[in-house]
Amino acid sequence: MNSKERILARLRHGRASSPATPYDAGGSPAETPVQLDIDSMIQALEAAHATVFRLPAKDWPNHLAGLAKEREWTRWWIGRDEAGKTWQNREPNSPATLFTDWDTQKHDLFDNAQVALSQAQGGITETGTLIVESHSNVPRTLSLVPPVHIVIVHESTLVATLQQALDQYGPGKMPTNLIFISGPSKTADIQQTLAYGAHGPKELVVYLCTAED
Amino acid sequence: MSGFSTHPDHDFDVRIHDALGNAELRESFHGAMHFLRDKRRTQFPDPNALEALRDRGAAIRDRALARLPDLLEQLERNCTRNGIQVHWAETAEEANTLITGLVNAAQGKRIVKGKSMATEEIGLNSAFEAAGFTCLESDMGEYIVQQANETPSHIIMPAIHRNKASIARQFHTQIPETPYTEDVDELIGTGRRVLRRAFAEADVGISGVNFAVAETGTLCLVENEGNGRMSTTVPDMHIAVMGIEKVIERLADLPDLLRLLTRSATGQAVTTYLNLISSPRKQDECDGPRQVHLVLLDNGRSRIYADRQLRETLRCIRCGACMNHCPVYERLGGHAYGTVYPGPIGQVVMPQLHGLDRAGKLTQACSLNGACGEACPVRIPLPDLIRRLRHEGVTQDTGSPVKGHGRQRKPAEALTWKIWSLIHRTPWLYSLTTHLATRARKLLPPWPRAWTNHRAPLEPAERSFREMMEQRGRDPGGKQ
Ligand code: SF4
Repeated sequence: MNSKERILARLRHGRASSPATPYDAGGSPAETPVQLDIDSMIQALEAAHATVFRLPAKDWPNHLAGLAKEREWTRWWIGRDEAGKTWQNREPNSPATLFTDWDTQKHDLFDNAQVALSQAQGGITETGTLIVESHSNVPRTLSLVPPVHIVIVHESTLVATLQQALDQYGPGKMPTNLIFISGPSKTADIQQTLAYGAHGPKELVVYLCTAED
Repeated sequence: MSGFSTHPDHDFDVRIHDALGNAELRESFHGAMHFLRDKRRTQFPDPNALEALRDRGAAIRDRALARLPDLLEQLERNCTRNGIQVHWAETAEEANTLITGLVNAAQGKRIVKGKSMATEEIGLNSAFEAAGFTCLESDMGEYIVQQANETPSHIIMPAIHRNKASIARQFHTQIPETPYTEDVDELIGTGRRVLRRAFAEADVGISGVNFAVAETGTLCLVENEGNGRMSTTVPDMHIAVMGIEKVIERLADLPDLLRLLTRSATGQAVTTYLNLISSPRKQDECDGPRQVHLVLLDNGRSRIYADRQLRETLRCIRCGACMNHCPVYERLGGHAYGTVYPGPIGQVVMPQLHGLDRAGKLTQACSLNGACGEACPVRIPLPDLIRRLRHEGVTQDTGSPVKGHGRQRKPAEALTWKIWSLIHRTPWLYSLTTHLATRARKLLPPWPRAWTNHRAPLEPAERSFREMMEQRGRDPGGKQ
């Protein structure tokens, strides 16, 4: 027998010799149902130190361009998602770096990237969480390595709770990497003092895009 | 560097004595524990909702444990289908050999590690050192502790025993070109700078797993810093190590468990990152590890599983709330235990892993006040388990799967209890003893020093309670 077989045999034997603790199979239903509430999403994100702008979808590129100027953000990194494409069309003269090849671009990303822009696939209003899937067009390090992360999310993609968000996934429907982001990176490891930008972005800027007009 | 002993009972008294004498340490823990308890309390404002949630948490974990062998096989099947390579290890040594073998095969040299209790448990860092690899801890707290050649003193906040001045000194002396500063933002900035370089250059990333979902073959990692994401995303190879009890049935089980975990651990409604990993980089993706390995670690768990009561230990979601609420842990700090898992859960797990002969004494560091059991989000009856292990430590044939029972037994102590029990079972002997003790109270020898060191010596009363009651029965109107 190999290790796997021995471990499983011990577990099966153990289970047979002392049957399971009875449990309430379904568990009692969750407390009062949580409603989809965009205000609470904004509150939660802001409490987590993120910056939130809520505006019609067509307006974010102009607004972001203004912010970029004010903050002097120059070294942009984007993926081939909707947000990246829109931004590239808006700023054809100051091209952002399109992140496509890890092996040649990795060190540049770590050393030089200042701002990353990406699209979130959805959001959770209860906890102020963004849902970010990795897929062929969007590298997962985009939301992790650059010190500033800007996320575009459409309000039509929001759900109320993590439970509802996970209902959209399941066997056969899992992206390689599914990431739930609820603010900029942080730590309280030194004397319980909160500090932002531990390893991931120090700043998270969220554009909540309302349906047109 | 592992630094944890497989004989935590050795010098336990000495470590307790040192911890109690260290004012700085006591202040750190006192402050930190109050802080964490308050934060948790504000996250659970409604006691009924909390109790209902704890019921659900315990039920989800019991449901998973009831199907444990089947779920592990299902997890392996689904992970394999997703491209994650699954390995099984019965012991710490086997796991270490396996993992160093994987690193060797990939010709890896530089390793980064996200916070993981399972790898602390097997002493992976020492195994890496012996194999000639360098492995940098990347969680800020772990990094601080590793650099100082210490071990974590808390399972969630590894550097909780340190204050910022001592960390400032450490960074200043150990990291080149680092000015002395007690500014926490700057200190974290220094850690970030050093560790970023390590992430970018690492060949292998090691992580733990908070939960693994059987139905999808998904590894879940919960964190705030982003070092877990770095370790599992940037290096070409990701190796995840998890205890076999961490498997859950389905994705829908996650929300309740996460709610309990983050609120109990750090008093957060949600952590910055929830990272669900289901496969290595796919062909058309441009980043992520090319290989993902999952090591399923037994290390005594299947033995614990065979006993229905001890099995409840395996519900643990490693939130740390039991230590945050333990008055003994608060006063001693994590290092005094000398174990990977300190505090109440450590007092229950370590004797089960190492045997009562080596770790049974740990169970004595408990006043049975019950706070840990009330705090535990998955209702592990920690006080009952501590009491049971104490009992097994001094009893011969228990039929329990815990090794080393009876090895805490001291003949003099056992004899004392025997006499005590005899006296209390024999009415005439009881009357005689109390009679003698009350009448001859001035003649009794002084109480042992261990007792009178910090307390006034005890002296029996002039009359026994029973005599006083009898007196009162005869003379109802008399003096009260
Ligand atoms: S025993 Fe309970 S309280 Fe302690 S770490 Fe485990 S889950 Fe948390």
